[in-house]
Amino acid sequence: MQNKSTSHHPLWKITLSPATITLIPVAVGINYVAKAFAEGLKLPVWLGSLGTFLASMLGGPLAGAISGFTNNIIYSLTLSPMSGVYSITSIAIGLTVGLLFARGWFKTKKCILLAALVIAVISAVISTPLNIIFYGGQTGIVWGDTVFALLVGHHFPVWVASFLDEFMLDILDKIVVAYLAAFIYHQLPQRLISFFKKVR
Amino acid sequence: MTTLTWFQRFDPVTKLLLILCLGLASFVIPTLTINWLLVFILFLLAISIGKLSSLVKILSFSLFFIATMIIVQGLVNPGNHTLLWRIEILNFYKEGVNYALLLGSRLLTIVLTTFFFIATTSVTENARYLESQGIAFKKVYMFISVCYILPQMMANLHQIKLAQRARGIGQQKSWLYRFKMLFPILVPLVVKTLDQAMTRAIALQLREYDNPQRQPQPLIHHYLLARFNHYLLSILIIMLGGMKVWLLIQK
Repeated sequence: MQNKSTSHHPLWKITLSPATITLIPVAVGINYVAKAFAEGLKLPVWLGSLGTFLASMLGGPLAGAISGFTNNIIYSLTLSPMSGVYSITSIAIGLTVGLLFARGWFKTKKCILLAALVIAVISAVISTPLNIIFYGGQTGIVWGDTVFALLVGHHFPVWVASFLDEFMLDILDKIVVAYLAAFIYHQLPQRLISFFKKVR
Repeated sequence: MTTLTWFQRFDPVTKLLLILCLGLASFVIPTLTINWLLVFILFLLAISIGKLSSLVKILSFSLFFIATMIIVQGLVNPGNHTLLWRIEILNFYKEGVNYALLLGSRLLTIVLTTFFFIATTSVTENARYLESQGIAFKKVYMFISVCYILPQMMANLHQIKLAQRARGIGQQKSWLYRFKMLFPILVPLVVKTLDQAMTRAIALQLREYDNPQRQPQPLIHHYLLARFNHYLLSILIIMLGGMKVWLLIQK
């Protein structure tokens, strides 16, 4: 799919061009609206990283990382104060998506599934210590926390229970977001893709 | 000239440093009682600002979360051994409940200090102050433009939803159908938003948004001891961070 992309753009470079300073806020906006829409449809996923995925695909890992970071900081200063803590996770998601996309992991359906698994594992690995520090290992999602309670009740270590709690919630979300982002990227006109490639 | 309220006398950076400082303090204070006393003081401060509906909204999720933590930790915390109370077949233990209350007090400290920032600082005030502190306009613009893009995106979402409803795409109960709904609504919205972003980027370039001659906008308020507050809070943050590291090493 990303054959539309241009391989001559350096991966780890970003300039604050007009394309960048409009792509990043738009990515944050997409995260917000996608999350609101998923909540409206009562879907069992958040979709709150769709914009970060698209920013990474269009602008590279750094654009994705900045989008993820900005998203969590703005969220924490407007709607949900504890979101700021998870800005590290969002940075990691942005970097991973950008890197995997550049390596061609979003080319086929099987590759996208594999990419989503990698992203979910990374997201859960980074979020788990944060969940333990701030929430004793829970995530705040009732069915995930039920699994956490059952595992801890059966003498599993807290970090294993917390990781599984987080991973279970992340995996479905990241699979849906990865396929959706790849589909949207494929629908974008070439002029738009070329324009945002200027980010790098 | 209008009289400033007490919270308008503090600049946005002081408020942000205060969030970090009090958040760290709640992690250093080992006593449950002092932590909840801090929460109580912050709660009184939050009430004094007004905006009670926003306060209730922001606290409701945290309080629900604390309730689930008390249940889960009270029941299954690995350190549990002193029975506190029993409800039917469920045994709640003191150690788990205390641990959940400690975590809860830290959570509320962060939430209430952040509420103080949210309720007392406007986007314009933030932007002007950050620019006056020497942060490049490009970065400030990137940060604040989200606040202007969101209403536009929500309006687009509403428009697309209406159009799709008119074509007969409604809400159904099955999850599969609801997942399918993402495509006719979310995909056009994202494509349209990216297209508008491209137009905005071109307009920005044409208007010379990064003109080096640009003068920052004047500040909205005259802030009280801004520089002194920054130094004082920064020193406190370093000290609290050091204390936390020391406490961890002592363990």
